[in-house]
Amino acid sequence: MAEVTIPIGPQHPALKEPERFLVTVEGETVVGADIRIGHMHRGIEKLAEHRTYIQNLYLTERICGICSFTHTTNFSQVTEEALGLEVPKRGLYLRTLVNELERIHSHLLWLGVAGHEMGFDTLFMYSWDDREIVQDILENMTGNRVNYAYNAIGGVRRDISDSQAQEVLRGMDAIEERMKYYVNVALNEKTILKRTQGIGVLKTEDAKRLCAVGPLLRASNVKDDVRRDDPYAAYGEIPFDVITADTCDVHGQVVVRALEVVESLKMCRHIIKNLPTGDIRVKAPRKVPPGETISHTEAPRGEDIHYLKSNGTDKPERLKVRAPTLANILSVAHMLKGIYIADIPMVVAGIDPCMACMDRVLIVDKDKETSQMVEMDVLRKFGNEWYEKEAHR
Amino acid sequence: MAEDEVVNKINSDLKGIVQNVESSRARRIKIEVIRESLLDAVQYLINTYGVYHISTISTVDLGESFEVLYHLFGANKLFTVSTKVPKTDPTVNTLTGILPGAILYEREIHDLMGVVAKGHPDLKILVLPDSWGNKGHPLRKDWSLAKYRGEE
Repeated sequence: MAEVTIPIGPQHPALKEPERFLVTVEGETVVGADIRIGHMHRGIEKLAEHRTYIQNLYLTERICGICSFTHTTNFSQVTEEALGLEVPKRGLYLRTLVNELERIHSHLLWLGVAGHEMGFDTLFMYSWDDREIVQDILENMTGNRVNYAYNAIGGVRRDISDSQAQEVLRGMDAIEERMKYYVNVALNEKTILKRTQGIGVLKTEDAKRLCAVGPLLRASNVKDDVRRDDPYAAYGEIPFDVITADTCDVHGQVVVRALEVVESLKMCRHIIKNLPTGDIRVKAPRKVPPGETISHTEAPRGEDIHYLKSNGTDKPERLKVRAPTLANILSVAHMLKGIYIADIPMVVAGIDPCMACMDRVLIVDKDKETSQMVEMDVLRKFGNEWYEKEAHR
Repeated sequence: MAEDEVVNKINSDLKGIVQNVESSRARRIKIEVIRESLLDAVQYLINTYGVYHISTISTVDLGESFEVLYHLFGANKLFTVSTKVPKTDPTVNTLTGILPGAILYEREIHDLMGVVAKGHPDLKILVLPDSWGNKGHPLRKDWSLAKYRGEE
């Protein structure tokens, strides 16, 4: 059968790290995938060299629209280390709390997106509704739903009152009740099993070889988590389990994310119940002495790393940022090989990238030299109908 | 293992290869090597500490030279292997043979800083536009938007 090449992508300006996959297919089967990213490279690293540290805190917040807090945590940590600042314990605990709340809302968002991609829109409606509980808590604590502006160099910007702490606990109870349903759905629901089991297989050795990160790596049965392996903020003092799955497929990723939310709920409760008293931040000087520091955190999508070289002025000499999606792109290209066209949306959705990358699909038929623009909706519909029509597995 | 022991062990095991080993704080080890010894140092970390994860590659423009820093994470430590290359010959040996996860990061430093990884399977453009041509490497200190637009 003749090979046909399908470029998928490129991007949507609303999200970070759009990518385009050039997929070669033979009939229904994908035989090769190439990657092209950078369609929305904003030059943030260059920009950071012309901004003061305080301005950069707000710049790094805007690297990602979903896990914005992990980037400011990283940037605060590299700057605090270069300044030799010791952040008060209460500040570290609050920073950890918001990091975990962010993980809960990000994973619930992903669960909804995954449900939508597999034609299970009820799951999408439910999980995005429940995500609002966390969003309300975040808004109440920080003042914002997305870019919280909560981190400061030297701590956090707002303290938490008793009534706010009670609201967090109430919210955790409500989500825990709902998570019983989601975990049950993730493990037993037929639609999920049919669309994710055995799809996008990434074996343990391949995940390690391609340096995958986050839930993708843990779904390939590798017990790596920056929160445990290189504790930052208050993570060294909060008990939690690193969740892994041994199925090494998209279903493993669904299960890992669902169970990670349950772990995060426990951690948030632990933080509120053991919140130290005292200050939430220390005052930071504007000029940073020369030096170089590295910080990495476990973002909802995986390891996020910042490298800072300071030069004694109030602006960085160099700031290097590597967000988790870039680390997972090689793995996606690998996972796409050998699957059906109908499964492409599920595999790409699996790593939790910007979904808008898939908004436009161009199908090129080499033999007929024709090309056809296909909307993402059409590809999704094709995938869902393809599975309805006949029992392929 | 405390960081001091690791520093001493690397110093004695890689005698003649490393220029400097230091630990700025817990779980951070920085190893400086000449560029010819880069692969040896990385291979040593893979063999000795079971490192399999490369987090990213950073580059710094030092004026006359570039510093290239490879951030490797394993054994609960963030190792940074650093080497300096002159601006007149900004090349390093590729890591992709021993750490395939470096493929994209080497393409990224090639785009943005113009540091070439010799032996890389395919150093095509990663983040810059296809139409970029030879408009320079944006993260170099002598690159500016005005120059790019031809106003200087």
